[in-house]
Amino acid sequence: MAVDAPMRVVLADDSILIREGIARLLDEEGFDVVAQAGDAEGLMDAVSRLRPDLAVVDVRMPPTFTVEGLRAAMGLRKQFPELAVLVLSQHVETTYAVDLLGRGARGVGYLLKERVTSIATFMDALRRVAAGGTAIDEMVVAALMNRSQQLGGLDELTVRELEVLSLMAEGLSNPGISSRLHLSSRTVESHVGRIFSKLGLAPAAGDERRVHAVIRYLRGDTRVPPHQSLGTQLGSES
Amino acid sequence: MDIVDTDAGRAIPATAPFAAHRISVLALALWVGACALIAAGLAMLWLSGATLHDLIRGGHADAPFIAVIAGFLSVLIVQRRPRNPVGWLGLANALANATHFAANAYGVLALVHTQNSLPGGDFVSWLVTLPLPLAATTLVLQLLLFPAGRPVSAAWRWVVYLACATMAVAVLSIGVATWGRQGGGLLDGAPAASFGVLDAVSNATRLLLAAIGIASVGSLFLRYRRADGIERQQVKVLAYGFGIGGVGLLVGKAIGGDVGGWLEALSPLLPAAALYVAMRRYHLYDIDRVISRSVSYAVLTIVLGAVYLGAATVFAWALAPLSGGSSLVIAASAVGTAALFQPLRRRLQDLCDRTFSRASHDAGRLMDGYLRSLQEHDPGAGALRVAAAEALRDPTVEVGLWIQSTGTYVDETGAPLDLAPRLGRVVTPIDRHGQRLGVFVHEAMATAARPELLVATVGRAAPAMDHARLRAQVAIQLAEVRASRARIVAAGDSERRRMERDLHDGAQQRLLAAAISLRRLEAHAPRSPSSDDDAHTLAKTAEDVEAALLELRELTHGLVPPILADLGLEAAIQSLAERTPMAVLVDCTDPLVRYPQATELAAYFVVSESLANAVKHARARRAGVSIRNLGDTVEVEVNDDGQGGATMAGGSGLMGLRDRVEAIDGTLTVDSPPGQGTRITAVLPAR
Repeated sequence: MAVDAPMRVVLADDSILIREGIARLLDEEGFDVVAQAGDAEGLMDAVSRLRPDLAVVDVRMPPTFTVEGLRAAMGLRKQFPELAVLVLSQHVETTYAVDLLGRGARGVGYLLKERVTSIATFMDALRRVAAGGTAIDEMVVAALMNRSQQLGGLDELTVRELEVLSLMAEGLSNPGISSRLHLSSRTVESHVGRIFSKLGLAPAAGDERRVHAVIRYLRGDTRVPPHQSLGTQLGSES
Repeated sequence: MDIVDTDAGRAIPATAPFAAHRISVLALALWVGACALIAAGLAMLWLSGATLHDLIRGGHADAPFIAVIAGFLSVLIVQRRPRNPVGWLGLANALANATHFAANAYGVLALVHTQNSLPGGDFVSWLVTLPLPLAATTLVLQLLLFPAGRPVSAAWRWVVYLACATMAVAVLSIGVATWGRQGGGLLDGAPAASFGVLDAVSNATRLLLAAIGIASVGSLFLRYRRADGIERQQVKVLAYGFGIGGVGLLVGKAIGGDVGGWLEALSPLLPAAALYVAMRRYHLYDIDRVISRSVSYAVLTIVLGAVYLGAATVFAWALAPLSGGSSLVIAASAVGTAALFQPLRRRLQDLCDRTFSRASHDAGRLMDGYLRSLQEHDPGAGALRVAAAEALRDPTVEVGLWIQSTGTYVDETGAPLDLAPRLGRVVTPIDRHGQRLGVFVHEAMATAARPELLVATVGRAAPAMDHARLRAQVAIQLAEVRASRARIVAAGDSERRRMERDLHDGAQQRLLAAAISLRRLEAHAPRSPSSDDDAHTLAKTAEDVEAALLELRELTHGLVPPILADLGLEAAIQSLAERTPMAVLVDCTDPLVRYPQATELAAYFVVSESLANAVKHARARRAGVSIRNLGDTVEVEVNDDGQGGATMAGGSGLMGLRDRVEAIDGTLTVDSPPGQGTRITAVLPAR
């Protein structure tokens, strides 16, 4: 995707080695890495100062080396609604994905850190997020699908429809799905329509709303509010 | 010293019960004989028209008291200490006094009152003076030998021999000297007879005996100075009794008349009272300890009989001047005695209970019962304290058990016990063969009021104490092993965390950085047929590095799942359920509650291992996980619909789980009947 003004990125990771590696990669792929931060505070500072288009954030940062990055990312999303945020993590958990999505899936991504090495897919996800779309790691989606399937929530879907549902959950658009599965966009559209009617979901306008609805369905959270644990912790902090 | 058996390890004297019984009966018979002589004497004095007043003024009233009361105490001493001469000497003294009294009474009746109309009066008069040196000597010997039956030192042995020799000479000389003078002149109160050689000898022995008597009082004081502890108290009380009693006797003799007669009559009661106090308060001869209730009641009955007789006699005497000895008097005296008898009997029985201590008897039985119960079952930690509290009648009793290895006292559970001195608390040690077993810590007030309870309890406590001590020792060792197991598990956990951190900060970062570089190189490598091999190698290397990354990620996740530390048990279990290839229903009572780190980790491993087993070995299709917060504990249960038959043995990993759970004081139970699924329940501390 050629752009006139390169996309401005802030990068946060406590490891200089990784930070430098990803910065160089982004640089080569035509992004403008305007700042690098080693912790959440530096990240917040850089974002509020430089107002980048995109923040790429590692979950594990000082001082506790647990989920500082995730909390910082959620804070950023609240404070700067236009900012796209991609969270990278050594381990992915559906709980964190759902917490990160919050009320909407606009301009947000949550990927396993090692996805960085599949340059093409990573860049695809990065651009999707930067453009206001969603990127959820396939491992998160697989776990959600597994759970839902075991509990009988997806019994009526065909194998092909399950594939399409997975990609929808990852945040792919209909064209993205059709190119990934080598299907015509018309076929993809009809799959999507059937999936929604089989699952009893109202057709969603916009890819990111679709992601949100699908993930909540897979979580079994359609009737109860999404997992509140991280939100509660954040609430008590701020 | 065999005065107080507070060193509890000593075996109870192993006299054959039959022999002990025979000795008791013999002592009792001697005393009953003395009492009978006294009763007969009183009756004969009454028949010869003497009044109580005469009895008192004549200085005869001391003999009945000595024979009945001192004799009774002597019976008790003999029962408890058959080898101790003090008791036998007391009985001999009682018999001598009683013989003297009865012989004198018969003499009065036969020779004076009935004018020789009764047979044997002259011979009996000979028996009046004969027992007197015997009575004096046995009294002196008692003083010399009290309380253990040994002279105060080796040198004092000679005084004992001298006393015995003097007594023999006195009896012989008096016997021979008075043989020829049988008759009224030998009776009490008669004018002194002529002075023959033998009389001179007998008078000399009398003086000698008096001197030895003074020396014996001196020996008692010497003994008091040398003794310590409870023996000192025993001797002190007795010395007071004899001292005051002796002074009373001398003063009574000196002033004469009614007052002097009463003083003489009552003075012998003082040593007897002192003896009683020493028995009761200072456990003299442990009379208060071992004597059985039935024996004391038997004695009581006899005492009551004697008292009844005495009372009836006294009544008749007192009423004689009023009515001139009619049958009415006898009836009235019987009625009066009966009226007095009931409250007296109740008082005496009370006294008997308190003195011969039903409580201390019960205390001893309680401790014995506790020991016997050990043969049946283990009463558990704290049972000795309960038994001791009951026996000592002090609910605040603490049991301190001596742990040799650490040099400290612990309670029955093995917890350290603070023995720092506290106001109003007394520490009583329990030793065996000089080896410390433990202590009782109790209220000073409670045991001061009932010292006999302490003696009875302490005397039986050694085996129970030893058992409790060994039990506590095992408990301590078990606690040590548990603590070390917990430390091992905790060390393992912290090692897991350290490894996870090191891998994350080191190998994982470097490999990821390397993979990024390799992929960048691959992306920018020029495409040409000549570099196909290089490009292929590059791609292959990148894949290898990524495979290593994947393996590392799975390894570190297995070490310590990060979500567990971050969001707690419920989130971690949900995550586990999502990744398990079967239907897992998670039911959690308090999803947001955080438990101790060790508990969360143990619970997580229980669930992950159980789910893995359910998938791998049991071929289950569904599983349920429930986490119930029970306040002090959290119960984690995993059940599946698999084929069951899981056991702790073998490589199921359940053994390791149990070790981990028990290391933090939890329990793990496995219920897995073949063909009926598996239920694994762990109860873990929640605080």
